Amino acid sequence: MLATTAPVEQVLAVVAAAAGVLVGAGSVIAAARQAKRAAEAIRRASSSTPDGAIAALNLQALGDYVYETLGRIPVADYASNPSARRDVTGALEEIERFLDDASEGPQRPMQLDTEVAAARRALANGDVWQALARLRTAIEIDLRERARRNDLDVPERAGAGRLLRALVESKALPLDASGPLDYAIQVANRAVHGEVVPVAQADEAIYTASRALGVN
Amino acid sequence: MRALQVGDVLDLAAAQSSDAEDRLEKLFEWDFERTMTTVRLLFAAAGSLLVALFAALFREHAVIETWQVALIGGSSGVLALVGAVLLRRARLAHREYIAALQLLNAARPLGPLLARYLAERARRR
Repeated sequence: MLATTAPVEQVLAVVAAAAGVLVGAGSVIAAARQAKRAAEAIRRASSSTPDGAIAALNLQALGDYVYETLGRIPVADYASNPSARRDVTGALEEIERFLDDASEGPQRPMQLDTEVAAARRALANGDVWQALARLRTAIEIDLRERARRNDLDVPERAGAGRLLRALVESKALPLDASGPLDYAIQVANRAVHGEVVPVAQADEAIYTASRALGVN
Repeated sequence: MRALQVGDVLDLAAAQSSDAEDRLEKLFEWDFERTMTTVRLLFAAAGSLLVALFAALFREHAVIETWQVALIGGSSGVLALVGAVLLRRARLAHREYIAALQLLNAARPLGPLLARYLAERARRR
């Protein structure tokens, strides 16, 4: 049979078969692997939230969540899958609220002096971002407690800056405390947003805030 | 060839450059061009195989077995099918581009934070 066939057709048949099989199998395998990776990334994003990373006040945890959990989703799936899109945009909005100090207050019970001590430890370890994020939380804890004591109606999502303004307006905070706290909140906000804050300035912010809060 | 991921758009937000949209457009243009080049190659290969097959079939005194016709025709079909799938993907690129633009805008406020994280990660490595 083959002997009666012209060699050019034989060669063509073999080349065609090889090309077809290679391209076909390669495409199917690549598409299957890509689909599997995309499904895993979407599942991981839908089963997790940035809450843990935000509560940890840890830049690495937050960045890892953004890049390793959200970042692995293919743009094609982000565009075509409404659930994946909702998860990504929802998580980004939640992180943005945290940066803007407009997220809900700490979910776990926190002590003012413990947080200030943690901020000092973080600064001693060279982690300016965490130090100032913790300082901001510490200030928020104190101001929220003062607002509660003074029966001030403040929203759940009010951050340290907003609480400070509300307390100053209602004269529930002495002026000599509001200035240093305002300064510390501003420095902390800059750092939390990602701006580079020198260690000396972070140290100064922690020192002034500690004095204003009455924490040793 | 790795598909464009959300992380790539976040990288653009982290770069905080004023021409991030242009860069994103470039990324999609490259991706589109790459896909279209592959599509053209696949359709050309499928067409060449069919032309060669018809030439062999209609040539005088040529003897070609049925299995050879099926093999060449089948391979041509597979190549064309893969090309068609890629072409469909390329046609969806516009929708993906719009979604990526929206994602870039949503990620912009986090730009400095992401840049700081990436700098710290690079320092650790």
